[in-house]
Amino acid sequence: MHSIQMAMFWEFWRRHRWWVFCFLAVIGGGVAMLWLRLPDIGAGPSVIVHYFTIQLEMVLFLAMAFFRQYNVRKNRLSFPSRLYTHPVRTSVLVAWQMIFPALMVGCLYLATVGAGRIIFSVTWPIVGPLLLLLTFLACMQAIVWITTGFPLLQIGLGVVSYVQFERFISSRYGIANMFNLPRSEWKTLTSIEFLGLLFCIGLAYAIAVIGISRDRRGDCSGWMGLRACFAGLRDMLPRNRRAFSSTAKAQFWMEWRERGWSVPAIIAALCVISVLLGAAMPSQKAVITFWMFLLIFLMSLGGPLFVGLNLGTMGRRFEMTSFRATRPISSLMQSMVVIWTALWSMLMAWAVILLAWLLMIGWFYLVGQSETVTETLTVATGLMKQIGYSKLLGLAGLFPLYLLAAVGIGASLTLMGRTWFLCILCGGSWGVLIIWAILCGLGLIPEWFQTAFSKALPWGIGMTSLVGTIWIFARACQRELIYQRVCLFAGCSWAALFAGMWLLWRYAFAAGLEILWFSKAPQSSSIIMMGGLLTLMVLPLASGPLAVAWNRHR
Amino acid sequence: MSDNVIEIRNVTRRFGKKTALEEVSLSIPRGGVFGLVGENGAGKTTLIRHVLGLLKAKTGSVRVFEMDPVRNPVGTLGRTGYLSEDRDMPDWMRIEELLRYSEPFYPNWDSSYADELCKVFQLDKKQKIGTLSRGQRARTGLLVALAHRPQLLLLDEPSSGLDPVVRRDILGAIIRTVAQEGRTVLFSSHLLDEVERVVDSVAMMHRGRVVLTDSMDHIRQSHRNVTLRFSEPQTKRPELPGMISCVGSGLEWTFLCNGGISDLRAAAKRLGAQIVNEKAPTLDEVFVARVKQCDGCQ
Amino acid sequence: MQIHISVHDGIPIYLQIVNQIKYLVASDRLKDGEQLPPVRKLAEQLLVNPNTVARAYRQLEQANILTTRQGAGVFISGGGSPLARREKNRIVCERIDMLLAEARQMNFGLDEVIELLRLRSNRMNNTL
Repeated sequence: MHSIQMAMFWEFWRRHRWWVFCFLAVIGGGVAMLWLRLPDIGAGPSVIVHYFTIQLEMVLFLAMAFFRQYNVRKNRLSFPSRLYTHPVRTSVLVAWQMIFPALMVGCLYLATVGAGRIIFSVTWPIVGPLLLLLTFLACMQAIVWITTGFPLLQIGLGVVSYVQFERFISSRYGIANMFNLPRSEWKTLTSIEFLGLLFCIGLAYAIAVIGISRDRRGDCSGWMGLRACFAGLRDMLPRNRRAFSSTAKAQFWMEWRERGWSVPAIIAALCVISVLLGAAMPSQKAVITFWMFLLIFLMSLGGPLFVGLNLGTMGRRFEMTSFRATRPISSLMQSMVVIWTALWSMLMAWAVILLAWLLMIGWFYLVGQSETVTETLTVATGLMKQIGYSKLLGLAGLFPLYLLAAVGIGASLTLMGRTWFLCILCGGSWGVLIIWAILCGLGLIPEWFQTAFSKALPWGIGMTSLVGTIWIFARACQRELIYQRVCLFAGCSWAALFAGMWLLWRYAFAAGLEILWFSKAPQSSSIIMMGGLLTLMVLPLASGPLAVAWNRHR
Repeated sequence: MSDNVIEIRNVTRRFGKKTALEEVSLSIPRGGVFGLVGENGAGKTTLIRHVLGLLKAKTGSVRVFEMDPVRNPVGTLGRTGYLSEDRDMPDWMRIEELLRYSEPFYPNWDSSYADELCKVFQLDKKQKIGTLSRGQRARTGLLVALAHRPQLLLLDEPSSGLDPVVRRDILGAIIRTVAQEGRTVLFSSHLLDEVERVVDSVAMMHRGRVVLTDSMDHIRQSHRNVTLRFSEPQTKRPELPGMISCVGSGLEWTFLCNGGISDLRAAAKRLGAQIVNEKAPTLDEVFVARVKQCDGCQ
Repeated sequence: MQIHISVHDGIPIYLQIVNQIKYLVASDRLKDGEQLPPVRKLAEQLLVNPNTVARAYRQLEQANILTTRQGAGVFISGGGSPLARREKNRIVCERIDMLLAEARQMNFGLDEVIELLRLRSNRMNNTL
């Protein structure tokens, strides 16, 4: 290291190299995909592709500014604070911290333009978008740096300025409405635009210097006074000081306070945001909020697995912290409490949505928009009729089972505490799916194989779940993690479920009712698959404790 | 009931290529204070984690209260108080919440003792654990480890990085625990003068091996620090029976030996040297000599 | 009662306690019948293992310096004057041994040492 610049450049590169590689991978993937799909793009699509390239780059740079320049978890600049101890003026420090990413952005943009020219022989404008991207990055850095310690302000300012940039781009590309496609390319850069963007960069620099010097002085701790006031108020609230009557209750309290509350809170925040968005669109009918609530609800239907994954996280990189691992609580109890908390978390989230809905309906009636409610109700009943009541009823009946299985399996996956396992599972399944899709798309798979595969799939799923569950129960028993009566309970429940389903199926088939998918005659392969899937309901009883033990006793 | 609270037999543990424990066998008797000394990375924490069941013995066996800590975590952990090296506790909890949370886990939890300790340690129960200073954090961890009057107190590097006041508190806690009949303390440390004050027995670890385990008294009796004065300059290192380390040059040489003083006197006479100084070595000196001897062998 | 423990001079801790209590008795800073702190208290005060303190007390008891009255505590036993005398002798002898050893290494004859002792004693008397 011969100079400050070199040292800072090296530090910067060390901190950001993975980000650069990711960026290159994304751009490269995009180029490859485009090249495969449309070997030569005409003038119209070229504009669209360029527009979306800029959009993508903006999102990527935003992510970089947010995640690489700012440590979300610690609410601090991720900027190593040892840079502050170097004998460098803050303005110089900030300048280099802004110049390196600018250089990087410039190179990356030029690379994309070059790729466009070489591979697709289209000419994209350089100066305007490049300057815009540089300004954008500088502004985002400045915002992240000036608002350190104030996360809400940070997000608010970031979103507002991002929207402003979007509007600017939209106007340059001749987009009138949010959902239109670009029509014209931003070929020429007027001097006003040029000066305006330069001014923005200068302003961003000044703000960044103020922000960094504040942090250098140690002023970025957030609203300390307000927080202290809030904490004082919380102290005054009457709190439950009674002792817990059992270990399970104490553990439940801990799990809920640590992670359980987060999902209902996120759902509540989403509801509030959707209300605000609905209010911000004056031209639209208020009904949009209604549909947004529905969307949140539908999204949350996929939630149990994620809630399970969330609650099963026992520490950094899923590894159980030594505090948790040394509590005298059995692995069975620990896993059951986690699953129980996850169930509560999910149910509370739905309760929040229900409450929001009720409030909204009440509000509509209050302001005299009751026809909105009746309108949406008719639409909803129409939809339900389309799907079929008997099917919906069947789905509703199956729902608790799905909830149990998804929460339990999700929790088991993270309780295991092995990052590599999750990576292999996610990467492997996605990889297989993608390869399958590509092979199908290219027509490389012969017909007979496809039919054989689709025939074998139910068998495979059913047998894998059955054998896997039995193996997991055997392991858990062998390690004395669960009692034999738990096994017995699991076996009996499974048998009862299986028998019930099978009878239902026979009945539905005989009566010609369309309950779930039970309209066809029962086949051995589907029966096996049903049996296999039903084992997943009882699987958490063994997989939970086994996962906890695997995490706890390494 | 056996007299050993902890019984470790032939435990070997590797992390990748690094061997953390190699064929470690150790028995810790009921009652008294047992010290585990060694350099950083000698395997002390790994050993303690085996005792807690946080690591499963890949070879050999670990028994705590004659139970396998992996098979029966409730039985062993419920009678054990543990203060981890990193004082891991949930940052969001207040101290009073931590106490309330911990209470149902331990059948012997003593609320009044917890309150008393809180006062002695000058802890504000309303404070969040995340906002505590390092010393307060250690005290809080110690409070939770002590409040259920554990039969076995495990302290992993309790005083590292702490000021003398907190170190005094911790030593006091060790002494108070062991003063109650039949309770055992196992603590690891590299502050050897501290260890020397309070332990009954000590195990020295070096590079994953236990190089010496004995009672403190016996270590003092069996090791001698002698300085010999020869009548003429010695060019090469003189040899004494049971010699562990030797420094010096020319006429005067200082030895640390393992053996009775009468043997040493006889040996000195044979070499034609005069014993000018002779005393019992401190634990520190024994430890440094043993470590050097081990490194020399390899 | 003031006892100072040092782990650096290689003397076992229980012996340090024994010697210092003996010294305190000999120098009349611990009187007959005076109560000593219980084992646990003293251990906490000195920050040493309670077993060590107990061992020191046991040894002192064997030497008839302490008596344990059941339920009441540990006391300095009465009638210790001959022992105190012996102890005083021992302490002074120890110091004299050290002086003689030092003197021999520096080639002082016994007469010279005695002469010097007398000289110093006179001077001390004069200054008092």
